[in-house]
Amino acid sequence: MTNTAKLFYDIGEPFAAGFFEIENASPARAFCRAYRRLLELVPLPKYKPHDALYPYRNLDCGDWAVNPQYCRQYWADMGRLRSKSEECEQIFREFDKKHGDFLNVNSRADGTRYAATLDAWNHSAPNFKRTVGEGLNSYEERIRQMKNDDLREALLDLFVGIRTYHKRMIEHLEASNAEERLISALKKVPFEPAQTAYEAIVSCNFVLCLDGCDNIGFIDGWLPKYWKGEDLTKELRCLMMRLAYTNNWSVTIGPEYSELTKQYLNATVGEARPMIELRTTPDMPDDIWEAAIERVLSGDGQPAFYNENAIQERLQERFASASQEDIYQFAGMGCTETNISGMTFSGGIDINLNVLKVFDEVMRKELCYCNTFDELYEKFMTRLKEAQDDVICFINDYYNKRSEISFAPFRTLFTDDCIANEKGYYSGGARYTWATPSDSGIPNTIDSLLVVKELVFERKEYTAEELISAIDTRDQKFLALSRSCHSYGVGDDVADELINDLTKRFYTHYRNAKLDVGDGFLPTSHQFVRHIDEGFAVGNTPDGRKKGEPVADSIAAVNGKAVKGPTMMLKSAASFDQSMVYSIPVLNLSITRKFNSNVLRSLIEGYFEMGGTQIQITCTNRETLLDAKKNPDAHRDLIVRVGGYSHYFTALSNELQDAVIARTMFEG
Amino acid sequence: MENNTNISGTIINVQHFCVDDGPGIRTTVFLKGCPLRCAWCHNPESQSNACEYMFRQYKCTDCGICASVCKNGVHSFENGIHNVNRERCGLCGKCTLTCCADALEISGREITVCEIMDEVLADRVFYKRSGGVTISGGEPLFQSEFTFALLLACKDKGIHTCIETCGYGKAEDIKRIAELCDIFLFDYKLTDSALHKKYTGVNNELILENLKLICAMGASVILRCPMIPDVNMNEDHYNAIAELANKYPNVQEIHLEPYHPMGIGKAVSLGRTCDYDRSEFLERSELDDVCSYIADKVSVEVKVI
Repeated sequence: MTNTAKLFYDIGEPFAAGFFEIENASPARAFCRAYRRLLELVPLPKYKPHDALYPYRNLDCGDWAVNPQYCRQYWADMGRLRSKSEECEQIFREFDKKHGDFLNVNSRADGTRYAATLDAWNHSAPNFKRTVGEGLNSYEERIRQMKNDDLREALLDLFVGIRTYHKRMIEHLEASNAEERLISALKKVPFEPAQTAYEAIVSCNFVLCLDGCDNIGFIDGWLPKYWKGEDLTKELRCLMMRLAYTNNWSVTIGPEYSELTKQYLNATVGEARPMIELRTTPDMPDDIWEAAIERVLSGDGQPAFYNENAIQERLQERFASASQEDIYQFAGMGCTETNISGMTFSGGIDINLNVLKVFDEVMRKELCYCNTFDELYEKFMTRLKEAQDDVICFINDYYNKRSEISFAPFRTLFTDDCIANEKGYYSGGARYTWATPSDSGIPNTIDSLLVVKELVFERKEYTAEELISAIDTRDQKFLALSRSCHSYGVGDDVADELINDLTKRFYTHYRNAKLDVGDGFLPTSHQFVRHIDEGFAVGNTPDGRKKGEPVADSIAAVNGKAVKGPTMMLKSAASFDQSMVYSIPVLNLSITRKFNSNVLRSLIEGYFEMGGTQIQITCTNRETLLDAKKNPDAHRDLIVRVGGYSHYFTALSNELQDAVIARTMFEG
Repeated sequence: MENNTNISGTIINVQHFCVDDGPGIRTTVFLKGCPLRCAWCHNPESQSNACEYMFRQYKCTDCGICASVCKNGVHSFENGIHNVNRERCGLCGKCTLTCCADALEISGREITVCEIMDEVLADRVFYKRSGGVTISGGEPLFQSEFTFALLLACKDKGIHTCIETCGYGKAEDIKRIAELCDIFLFDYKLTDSALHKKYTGVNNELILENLKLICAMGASVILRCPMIPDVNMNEDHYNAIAELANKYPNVQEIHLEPYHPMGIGKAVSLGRTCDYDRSEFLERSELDDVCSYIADKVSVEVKVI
């Protein structure tokens, strides 16, 4: 034991101490030892009587200042650490500079003023098919065969911790008089292969809690093998609630459907997490459609529908050498970042490029020098490509740096093929390593381009200078004129052709970029909550957006602009070239009425037939109508039912709006 | 049958994703022009076949931009009041493009069948399970050539069609349209012919004759009955609705449409007044009893839409 480690032990920080126990340790050795100590000493959560599963939460250190974290491996409350020992705080700061600060790499990041990083989030799921089906004993065996001494010793060290943790758990459960079936299952799994569905779920839960977070992934890739037709709703709910409890992500179901599919849906009723991703085929049976849409209509936006055929085809095209069997293990993780379950390291929106900001700067700088719209458009596209190059460079730099200085113990252990490749999860050990850049504001950019095109170059309402001045002063006439221009989200061919061209070029550039540590860039177009923040970074824009207002949510139309209803919104979204947005272009569709299930099904099927990738639908509530009354510009597309037909809410007089609001509570 | 898709008509708009105008997801074409003048008309902008100027005073912010772009002096502002001189208006629409408050609009535009079909075909992918085109209005029979050409174009593409009609038109038009229309959404407003004339401007004999004709041709019919307080909400009318449904097996459903006061504001914005000026909605729940009363007398579904 080093003196440094002893210092940390003395102040009650055994997890942090582990990092310093081995002199001159590699990141693998240091991180695995820390996690071993964590497993040996972490307080066990108390067994809750009648729970079908245990534990129900991630490894949780209570009042320790240094804790585990699944993306960066640890997080430290430096203030708390300082209050325990100033010396330890200094030491840990040095350690953090060396092993944790990989985002602060010396790169062109400073030049990427259009882009924001998201703190090194990454996503994956343990390979449950294997951990459940083969048992962890087989993992230990495979580790023993490794030739890389350092990595082998590190992972074996981690294994000691896992066995100790497992033993402590069983002792705790026995002392708590836990359910017998839980204890006897845990005496077998996860080390031995599961044989029943319950054992499979117990095994999955154990590994999931070790891993610390993230996703169950493609559950239908392994659970159906153990399912004999029994009702697993209670056990599944327990497993899913573990994700809900830790506010974590998603689970992927389908595309082979059964009563089990409905049990997954029932197991998560009333919960926003985990997000259910339903892989949807053209021949999904009617009863599954009904169950899924009934759930959507309950108002919680679950499940999201994924176009199975399109996704399989696109991934196969992107990775020609990947087997069909692998591609079949698809799951969207985190929000929706594409993974091959159990075999992938994927970034979680590694970096978000604010396309609207790029456009805004180019417009302000170049518009007065452009004689044609095409000239402006090409200047913008050139600058956009440069901004993408910055993103690519930045991601490569930090992936490289992370690969050298950090190590993910559980992810390395549970993600194929890290053991076979004898490489850490961050160092290209996974069978698939994909960076995931995202983008913001493409719909706003399209609308803005079209306003400039029409008002300056076609209708000649403004000179370049006049237009910019009108944008900045939010001149009323300009705002009205900008609304009369072509726009995205209404099935307008002019707008749809432009977005198709822009997105084709934009995503092709990512498609062709090289990722040093891994296989490539798999862009996503989903905003998480970025569209709010990105809006703060951009001033007034030609599309009528006010400084600081959010940009569009993912690939949906700009707020209030889908004025021709959902079918035309979907037509436009399908014009967005989705074929290379491998890590999923997200479409959030809000509806204000509880349509019958065939109507919703037709919308989804129609969208998928046009090539749409993913859609999630929410039923808008009364609060939205209240907000629409207050902020009409943001809700111009909101349609309400008045008597026997539908009408735009914002076009109604105040009194009628009030009347509709008063009635809406009772509709549906 | 050869079809002239270059024929043009006057419409208010093409509305996508309508779910109350026939089965499934519909694309509804609202035609402009109607031979009736219903006192409670929900869409007064659809009465005249001509394009019209709409001014929503309650939306106006008195910014004055409309006056600055209008060369004909249509807009004037006196004592904080925005006056619109409709007689001077040439319907160029320039002012409507500059109105930020949605106070100004030209209602009506000329469009060819071919142009409408472009919009319809964009929705076609959503019709597969159930859906199609509904021609509404106004009154589709009022522009019968255009309606016929549009129906023909839809049928040419195998698209399901509905016509929403008041039934007031020439028998020969009804006959050829019935051959191309899958479902008639047939308005039945008032049973007493004298009252029908009083409230709509025409008697109802021709309408009932046309319903008979449609049914004789074997067309499917959904009866659409506006429920207007103090006008037609009485047992005699309910009985008559039920009788019609029982008389014609073609009637598949009965839809009760609760009155709403949307038409009043629209009439004002067109520079007109409304004879029937009830400002309250008729709540759907207020029709529950009527619905049950009629449902007890017929074998088809009765619902409030």
